[in-house]
Parts: sequence; C-alpha cells; structure tokens
Amino acid sequence: MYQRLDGNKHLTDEFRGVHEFLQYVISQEKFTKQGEMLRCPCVECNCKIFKYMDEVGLNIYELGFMPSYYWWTNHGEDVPIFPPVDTQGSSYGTCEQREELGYFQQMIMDHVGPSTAHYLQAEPTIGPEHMKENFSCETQKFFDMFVAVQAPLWEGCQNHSQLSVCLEALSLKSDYNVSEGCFNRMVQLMGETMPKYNRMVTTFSQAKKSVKTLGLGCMKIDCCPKGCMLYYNEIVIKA
Amino acid sequence: MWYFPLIPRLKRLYSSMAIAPHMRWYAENRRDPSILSHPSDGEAWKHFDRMHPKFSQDLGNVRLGLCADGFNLFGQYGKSYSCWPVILTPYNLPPSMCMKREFMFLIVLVPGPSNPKHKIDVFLQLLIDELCTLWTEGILTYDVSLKKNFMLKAVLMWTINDFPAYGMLSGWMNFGRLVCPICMERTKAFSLTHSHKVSYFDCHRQFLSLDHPFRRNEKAFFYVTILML
Repeated sequence: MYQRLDGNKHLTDEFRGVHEFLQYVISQEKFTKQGEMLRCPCVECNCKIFKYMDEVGLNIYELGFMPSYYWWTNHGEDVPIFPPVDTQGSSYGTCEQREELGYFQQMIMDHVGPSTAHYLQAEPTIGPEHMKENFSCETQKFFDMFVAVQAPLWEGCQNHSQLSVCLEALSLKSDYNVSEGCFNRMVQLMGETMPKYNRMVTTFSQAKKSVKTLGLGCMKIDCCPKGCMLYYNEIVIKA
Repeated sequence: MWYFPLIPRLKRLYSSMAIAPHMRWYAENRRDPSILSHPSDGEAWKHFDRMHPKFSQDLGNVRLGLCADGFNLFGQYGKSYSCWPVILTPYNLPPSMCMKREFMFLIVLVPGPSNPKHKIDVFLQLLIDELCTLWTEGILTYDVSLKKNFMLKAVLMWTINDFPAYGMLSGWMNFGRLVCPICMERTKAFSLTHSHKVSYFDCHRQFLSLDHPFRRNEKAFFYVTILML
C-alpha cells in the first residue's frame, strides 16, 4: 500500500499492494473462520465493517486504504517487535548514573542515545582522527562535540572545558538579563585573563553556535503580522 | 513565531537516567486513595483511563497539560503588548518534579504587539500536528531505565487558562448570551429588554434533583413555570 511498498504512490504500486493485501488475508486462518468475510480497511469503513473479498477490493481501489494502518493487526498480522538496542557492556546496560563521566559528558550521552555512546565507552579517548570512515554525519557531529567537552579550556585547566564554559555563560546571561553587548565584553575579558591559546569563545553568536549541536533547538517561523498564516512546509518551498 | 519542537523533548526525558525512571511514577507509586496528591488521583484522569484502556496500558505514555496566557513584556512603560507563551507539562512525573521549571516546556511563543484572539489556532497548528502523530502513531523511543525501545504516545489531557484564553483555545465565544461553555446552545440565559444585559435568572433550577420542591415552586422564580425536565 503506501509507504509499505516503496514510498511513492504510483498507481501500479498501489494496485499491487492491494492484491498482496488480499492474498495475505486469504492465507490466514481467521478468514475462513469469519465465513470468508474480512474487515474492510478502506477510508470509510476503517476496519469496522465486515465485507466480502471483492467488495473490499473495490472499496480500496475507489476510496483508498485507511491512513496509518501499517501493521495489519485486524487481519492476523502481528505488530513487529521493536529492534532491541545492544546495551551489553556499556553503562546503559548497568542502569546506573555514569559517575566516571562528567556532568556535561553525560548530557551529550543522553543526547546521542545508546547506539553511538556505545562506541565512545569502548574507547573513551577516541578522537575524530581514529574514527572509522563509515560513520554517519550525525556521529561526526557528536564526536566534534565530545572533543569540545573533553578539551580543557586552556593547557592545564582542570575544571572547565569550552562547552561547559559556554553553557554556564549563556545560562548566566538568561538568568540575569545580561545584554548581548555586555555578554560579549565579559566573555572577551574572561578570555584575556586566561593564558594564551585558550579556547574561550569571543562573541555571543560563537557561544550559541557551540551549544547548538546539543539539540532541542528552536524553529523561527515567519508569520503574517496579523496572524493569518504561518510560512512553513510547502508554503516556504513554493516561495 | 518561535516553535520549540515537542517530540525531541519527550525523547530526551526518556534518554536521561535521572528522569526516565520517574516517568512511570504516577502508576507505580501506590498512594493513599483518600488524599489527592497527583492529577492521576483525579476523576478526569481515571475517566480517561476507562475510555482509552489501550492507551493507559502502556505506562510510559505521556500525559500533557497545556497552559497558555498572554502577558505584557513591557508593562512598566504603559504600553499594551501581548505576547503569548504556550507551555506544556508532562504529568507523569512525581509532584516534586512536575511543576519545576525544567519540566515546563515552552513550546510556542507567539510574539506581536496585539493579542492573537481566535487566530491563535494558526500558531498552534505545528503543535497540533505533532500531538496528532503522538496520539495516532507514536514515536519510537529508547527508554534508558527499561533498556528497550517502545512506541511513545502522548495525550493532551487538559488546558489551564483564564476565561478569555479559554474562549480563544476552545473557539466558543466568551461574551454575550451563549457564554456558558457547559450549556452551550441550550442555555436559558436571556437579555433584558431595556438594558440588553445578559441575565442568568432561573438557569440553575435544571440542575436540582427531580423531586426538589423548588422545581414545583411557581412564585419564587419565573412566574407560573414548573420545571419538570
């Protein structure tokens, strides 16, 4: 039917899908028990009405298949079991707070989820240069971020990294309503007091950029000033 | 308009070890039934469970409350400016966490010098789209505390707002004769002949029990009217 086949709604594909669906239903035991009738999965019946085979076929061709019915649970199919995530050997398996990792490192682990964090726990000092080539773009981002967390603010700095300082400074800014100019000056001053070759950010936009990869972002959507409509999705693409 | 997507925030709740075990608190902690300590002790919550048993079976499903109100950013200058934040709260968490600032998700921020009035629907459409997918299909989420994937579903249980905002969100008018959102078009209110004020005289007898003496009283209410329905 829809995405179940190959995503694009070509008529031929859809017809083949309907045929497959009916074939599947016939092969089930339930079908004969119900007196050769089945629940009609068309848009109007929504699996509530029992009909004969040819009627159901006609309904689906004319009206269309009901939306979001990917697993034919009303026709004898089981809901697939979700793929289990391999958590053996990582801290996700032990269900404990990862105390060996810092607070900010934990935050990043929460962001990327167990599949990627697994790599990291196997080799805690892994850097982008050791990475395998087949890592996805997302994983690459994650490693960049993790480097930002692990790298000390300057050589010999114990308690802060670039990301942690950025987060602290930004939260101070929002808590005390610091203006952007003031924030820039403060950050620059902090950078000047540190030793040379430090990784301190110098502007507000830089700080925001370095935190952006943590996710949970915000979307700015243009809208009509009178509140008539939003410009997003198809509307944006057309314009 | 600013929009802060809801789904990644719900997923993040389940990916943090500090929060994920608490997401089933409302069902796993047996409390004294005579004391209301959490929204799940309330009648509305139980009624919802009875209506949607399939949804309530999965304890990981999220119940949300929506809160919207306009506020004036620049109040001290005497200007009128109405900015509308819409805040969602997951009610799964224990009461000590539920109402903390970090668990109140600011989802939509409607700017603009003027009140959006009934056009607030336009600004809420992204949120409604997300809520629809969360209700019908669910989102594949990894739960850290149980160490497995599951289909996360969510429902918007109720909205919290003042009466003008209620009118905006529900779409029912909040002025004039048909103002009562319970009676709706069956209201018995009427406007006075000369001052055109809306009066609710004799609207409350219908809620009395059928054998109540007031229902047969012909003199104290509308003259010679017996209310037997």
